[in-house]
Amino acid sequence: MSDVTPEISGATSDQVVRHRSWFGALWRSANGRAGIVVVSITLFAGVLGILGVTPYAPDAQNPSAVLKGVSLSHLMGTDQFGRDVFSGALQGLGVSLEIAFLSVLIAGVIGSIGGIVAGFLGKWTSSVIMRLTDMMFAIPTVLFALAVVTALGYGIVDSSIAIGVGWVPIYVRVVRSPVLALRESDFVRAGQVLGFSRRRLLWRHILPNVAGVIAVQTSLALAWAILAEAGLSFLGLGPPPPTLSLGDMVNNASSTAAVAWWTLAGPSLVIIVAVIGFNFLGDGLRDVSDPRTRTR
Amino acid sequence: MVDVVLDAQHLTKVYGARRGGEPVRALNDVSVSLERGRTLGIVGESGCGKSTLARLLVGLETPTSGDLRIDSRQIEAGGRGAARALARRIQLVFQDPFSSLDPRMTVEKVLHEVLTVHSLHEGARGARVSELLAMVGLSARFATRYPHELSGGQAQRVAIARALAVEPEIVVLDEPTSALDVSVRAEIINLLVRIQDELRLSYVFISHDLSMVRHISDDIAVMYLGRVVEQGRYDQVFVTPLHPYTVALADAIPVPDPRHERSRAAAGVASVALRTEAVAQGCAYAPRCALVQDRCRGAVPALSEKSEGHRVACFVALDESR
Repeated sequence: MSDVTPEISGATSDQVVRHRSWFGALWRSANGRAGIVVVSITLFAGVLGILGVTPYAPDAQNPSAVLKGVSLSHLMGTDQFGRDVFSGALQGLGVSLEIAFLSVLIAGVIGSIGGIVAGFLGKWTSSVIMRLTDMMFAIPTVLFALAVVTALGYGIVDSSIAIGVGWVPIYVRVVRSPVLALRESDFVRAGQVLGFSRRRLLWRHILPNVAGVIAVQTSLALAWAILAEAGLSFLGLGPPPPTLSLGDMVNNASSTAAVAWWTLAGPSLVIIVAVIGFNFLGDGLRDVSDPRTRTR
Repeated sequence: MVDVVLDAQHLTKVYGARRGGEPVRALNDVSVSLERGRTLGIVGESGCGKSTLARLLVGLETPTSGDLRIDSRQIEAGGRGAARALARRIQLVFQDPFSSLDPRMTVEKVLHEVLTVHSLHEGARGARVSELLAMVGLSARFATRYPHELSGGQAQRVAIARALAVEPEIVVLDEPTSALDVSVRAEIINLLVRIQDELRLSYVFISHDLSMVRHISDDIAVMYLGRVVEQGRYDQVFVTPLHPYTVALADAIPVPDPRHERSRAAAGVASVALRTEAVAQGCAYAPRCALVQDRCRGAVPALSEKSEGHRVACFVALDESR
């Protein structure tokens, strides 16, 4: 806190360059920039897949082009039925992203509310929520997802619930601790002394200060959800055909990978790129989520 | 007729009584009062309960027992309306200006919010914000700054402006200068004195530093382990300190004279280790006291008047006929 600028002179005011927009600050951090680029490409490709804008119809079989290698006409080669792996991967990415976003939406909303309530409200409510999350932590996420999918069915929504619920306790924990700290912080105390209502303290002072944490968590959760979805589909528990996700493609490729590596490499690469992208974005968001580090 | 704006009687705060553990008496039968337009200095080392007192005064916590009145009106824990009404009368300035400001709010927003919550200066809030900033010696240029773009002194000025925004009668200053650079302290103290004159504010100035308190206080209460051990007018407590603890505090103030400092070192004012553990019975200061007698370990000396308005809780001091 030692500041050499003379008091009230305002000598620093002209030198302080402000980058207050989140996006601008994010772009300035190396992680953030990598995240923005990779995630943008991933989202664009996923949307193409969802809209069906692919070089070939993903399920179109071509007996004359079976197990063709990587070429300009087939960027990721073809599989044993002559289907274009790149087109399939685009469609699969679309499915994966749909499930990932839906599941993170479920986890984020329930988990954040749970974490805020557990941190802000009294001891009793907090204990109940924390015991519940402890119980959920005790169940392996993938096992839990398996159980949910078995119980609910195999649609996109069912998979999203199965994956999302597993991430809820993580949100609860990650959000609760800063809320706890903020509730006891001087500026929230000052707000109490100033007669601010609890609602104002929560919405105007505590929530904006945990928004960064939630954003970081959401980005990381998306990366994890893509992986989890791929895992479920790989086990045959994803949405049923004709909706092929990336996990299904990896599974299908397991029989042909020995003779045609590209059938495995294509969808795997897409998974890896998507996961890395969201991880970079998460790290970048963490770098800039604090306004004290945003100005430089 | 004395115009008492704040009157606390027999305030006691006990922590941890419910959980079955050893209850901590952070505040033990503390009675202080503050006259309008004056400053009450509260001095004591860390752990003496002065911050607890501050929190009770502004309504952040409720006393275990005791009576708190502002303008002769009883303050009771109550609903939101009560908290807002109390906020208009008494405000608090924290020790650390940075942690007491929301890092995501500009100076302007901080002040604006207070005006909004209390429906003050509707239609002219921008002007009022500039006025508040001017009052604490900040130009309007600071309105768009975030707390991290301010120096410690500037941030504390903003915190003071925020407290003044509700036009309170009383401001509790909880070590408002101890987190600041030494060079800035005097500026803040002078600012506080000036504002007090302009707005006829009443202050409760809390500090561990007697030399700070004496610059600003009219009345002084010295606290030790949750109790007031001596209180009186500024000159009484400083010129003729009675309690051995006050004497030790006064002696600890550095004097800018090497000869004086040397003779003092020779006199050997003992800096005894801090003992905050509860004393089973008797005077809490007995374990550190140079004048300790047998009776000090048997009973707690009551705060009694030694001379007009000058009260002390010490058997030895009360006996001496100075």
